[in-house]
Amino acid sequence: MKRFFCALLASALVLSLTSCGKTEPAAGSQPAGSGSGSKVLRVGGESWQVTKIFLEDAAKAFMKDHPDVKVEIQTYADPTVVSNYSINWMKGETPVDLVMIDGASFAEQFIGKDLIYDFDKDLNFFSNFDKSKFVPSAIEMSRLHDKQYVIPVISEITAININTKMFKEAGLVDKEGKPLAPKDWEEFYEFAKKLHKVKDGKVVQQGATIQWGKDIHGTVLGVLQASHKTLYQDDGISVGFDNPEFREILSIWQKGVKEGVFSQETFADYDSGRNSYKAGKVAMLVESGSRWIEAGQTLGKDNVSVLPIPGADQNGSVGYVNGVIVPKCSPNAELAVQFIQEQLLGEHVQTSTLNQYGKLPVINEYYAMAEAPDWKNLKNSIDKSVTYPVYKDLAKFIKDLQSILQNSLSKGTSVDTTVQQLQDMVKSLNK
Amino acid sequence: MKKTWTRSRQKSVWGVLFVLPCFLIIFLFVIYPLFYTGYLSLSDYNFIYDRAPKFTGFSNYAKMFLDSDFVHAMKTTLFFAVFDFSLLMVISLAIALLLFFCKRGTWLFRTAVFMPIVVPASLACIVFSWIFSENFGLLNYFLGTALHLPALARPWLTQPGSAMSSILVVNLWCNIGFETILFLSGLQSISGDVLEAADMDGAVGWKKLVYVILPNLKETYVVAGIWAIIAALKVFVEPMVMTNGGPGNATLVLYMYIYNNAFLYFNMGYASAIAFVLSGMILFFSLLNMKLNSEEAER
Amino acid sequence: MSAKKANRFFLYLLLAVIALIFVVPIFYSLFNSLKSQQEILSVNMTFFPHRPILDNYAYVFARGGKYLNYYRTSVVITVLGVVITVICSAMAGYAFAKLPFKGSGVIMAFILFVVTFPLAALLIPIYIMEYNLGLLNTAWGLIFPNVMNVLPFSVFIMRGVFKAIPKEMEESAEMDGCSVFQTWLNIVLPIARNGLVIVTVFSFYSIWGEYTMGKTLATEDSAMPISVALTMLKGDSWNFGVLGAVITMTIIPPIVVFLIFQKQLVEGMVQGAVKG
Repeated sequence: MKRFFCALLASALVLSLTSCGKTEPAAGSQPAGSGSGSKVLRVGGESWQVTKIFLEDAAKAFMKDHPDVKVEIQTYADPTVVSNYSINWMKGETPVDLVMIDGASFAEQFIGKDLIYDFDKDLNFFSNFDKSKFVPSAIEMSRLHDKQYVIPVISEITAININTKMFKEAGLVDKEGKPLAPKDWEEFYEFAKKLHKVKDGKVVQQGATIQWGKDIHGTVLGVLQASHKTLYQDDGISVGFDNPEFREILSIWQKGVKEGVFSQETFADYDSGRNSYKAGKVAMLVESGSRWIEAGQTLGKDNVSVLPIPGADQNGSVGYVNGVIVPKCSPNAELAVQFIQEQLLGEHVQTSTLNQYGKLPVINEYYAMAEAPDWKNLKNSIDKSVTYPVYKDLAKFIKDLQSILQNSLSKGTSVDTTVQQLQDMVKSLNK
Repeated sequence: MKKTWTRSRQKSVWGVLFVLPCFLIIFLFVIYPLFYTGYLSLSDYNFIYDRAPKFTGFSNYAKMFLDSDFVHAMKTTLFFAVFDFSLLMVISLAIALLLFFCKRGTWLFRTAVFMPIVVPASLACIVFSWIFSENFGLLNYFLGTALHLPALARPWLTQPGSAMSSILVVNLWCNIGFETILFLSGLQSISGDVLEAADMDGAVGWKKLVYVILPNLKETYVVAGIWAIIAALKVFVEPMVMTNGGPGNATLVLYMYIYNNAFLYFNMGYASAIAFVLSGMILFFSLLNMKLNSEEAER
Repeated sequence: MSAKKANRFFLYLLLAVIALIFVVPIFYSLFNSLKSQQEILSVNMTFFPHRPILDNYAYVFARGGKYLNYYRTSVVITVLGVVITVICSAMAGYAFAKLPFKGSGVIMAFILFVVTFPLAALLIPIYIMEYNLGLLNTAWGLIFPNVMNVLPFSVFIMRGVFKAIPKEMEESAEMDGCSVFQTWLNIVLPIARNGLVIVTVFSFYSIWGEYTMGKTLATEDSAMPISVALTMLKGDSWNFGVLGAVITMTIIPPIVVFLIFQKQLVEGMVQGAVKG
């Protein structure tokens, strides 16, 4: 036993010595040049962002155009890592020059401490990049406190992802064989009933699955906007649930859940709707409008499509952006701006992300290059979409919304009580 | 006379020396974080909006008991812990006894019970989410197809009642292996003389178990008990990964509430205060456990 | 006689069912790693792969040959952590069990308190502390917190083990003229071998699979342990085949260690009471 430990200790020491040489403390690293005078641009992104926003491709292309620059993509494990960066930033050093974040409101935590650049005022982003090239709702969604702290790169809105084959089988198509979009929620419910198939007590085809898990605010706010034209009450700040449209939707949802036509599977696992959809078991999936492209890979491009949620065609839906921020203590801010303008907002990234992953481009002209024509169904929704309220207590809002609604849907609490609970909750938040 | 006095003094000195490295490592590493967290628990500090914590005394602690979410989390955690602790201790002890007495032919069983230790809890939970899933889960499929009991198939993780039980099952799965090892070790350390004496006195089967073996495991109850208490009250990975506190608030446990406050709402002060409360609870139960199982006074 | 046999049979049946429950999830993910996404998501579920493929592993390895680095980091952190833990806990456990001194109760309560504290609340202060000490993204920066995580409980395990050793052992050693240290090293420690093995196993698996601290304190590729690095393969949502591959890769080294120690662990314990 003793000998075993000694051997183990010796080998570990040897290993640690060899690795010590290579592992350099990286907090506050200087741009390590791989050649004299060359600069290093460090780009941080979550692993899925690196893939779906083609950051590696962007890096390669940028390096080709600027041979004296090295672009390093750093993958971070999850957003709490970025939150911790604020500690580095407050001390004046940063491990990244440019960070990709999920949802513009994530940048809120850095604004209060004045840690990131305002792209407009501080970096003059729009002086050589035309603002009108952007989809207006994308810019809207990325503005915080009326300033451009975030530059949007992709966006997503809540829509209905459908399985076209199931629609055709149920006869829910128009004369040209194109799937019909439900005009309102009552019709949505009827569609779901027609599309729902049960065999031997087991569901073989789910009528509809609605995102009621971690991303529930996307769904709820989306239907609020689509049906009520605005998210807010008369004060313009508090989200308003007490209106006839929402009450009707809530009761339809409860009806659907009770009859099993609307699935509850997203309560626990917010990905399960998307997984079931990709496996060809769900007819309508109300979630981010990018899922149908994902499913196209397993189900075949012709069998999937996307439709706006009832009312979104006139009133827009709700969405959010993934964008980039630049910390004030980065030594390479101009380089970062160039990278954004040339690559992230450039044709390759914007069109590839649309065609391969269904993420919406933020630059108008690239929609014309979409491979699938179904995107036209969403054009109006996209143009009119709004984003989440920018509350101090946004995280609490989302969590409480989730718990109140899940309780209501699973226990069938009366609509009045639920709406009252929601209104009380909104009142108690710090806005 | 002089010799014994020097010896016991010697022991004291060595005692201090032996504890020193361990104590130093823990102390030095933990002292700053604990003090900082303690300070935070006495202040109001929103990580996003405040540049620095504002000292507010015990207001966080007072706030807690008026916070319905906190009370709910507390109730849920205690409820869960009671079942988790008892089942964990009883099942592990039973398995340990089994393994101790039936030495033949249990190699496969032994290996199976110890396997879960090898899998990191977070990854195991993802696999279990998948197994418990309503439409894709192995469990429902098995119940429906292999056992022909489709009525038993249910959405395990999305119904309030079964969500709790599912988490319980996974927590047990992760912890029984190690707990069994602790019990086995305790069983092994029961002196052979004691067992022989029991045999000679004619105590066999149940009698031997209850009157001889179980009482001799006191030390093991302390260690195994602490582990079980910690596993039960500090439960976090399972509800976090599998149900995210849902459906509604059904599986919101204290540790998760702390996490939400710290990393979602960024209320560091409040989160720290709750952390101390949770820690205090666990400490209380552990000390209680030790007291109940204490043998003679320190030799 | 046949009643006894029937009893035995049912006992073994029960054991088999329990064993199955314990092992199924592990094998399920192992088998999943060999299935294509389509097979996993298909309506007719399969347990064993019908058409085994290695694509999932290819996917994992295509993400860069950095895996050797991650493994190496994990090994260094884990091995050093385990060694430190074993030595320190063997000493401290003995002290608490047999070497009383003033204040030992207080110190023990303190150590117990550390175990009870939820780690999540300490993450940010630890991050700040390591940042100030320049320990972020270094091997030692991960070894210390991990040791701090497993050491307290290891001390308790060793204390329990030592307490169960009868006084007579030490007294006879004393009479033979051994100093305290010699008693510890040569007499008591070998008897407590079981405990050492448990501590080794416990700390090894805890440190190897540790995720929360790893992802906070090692943000650079070069310093990431494998437990963190592999979860980055999640993408938007887990491809279950890839998850299976990830799990397989994570548990293979520990299983190897497990098989090495299994003999010690199980035989030492199941041997029954053999005391001299």
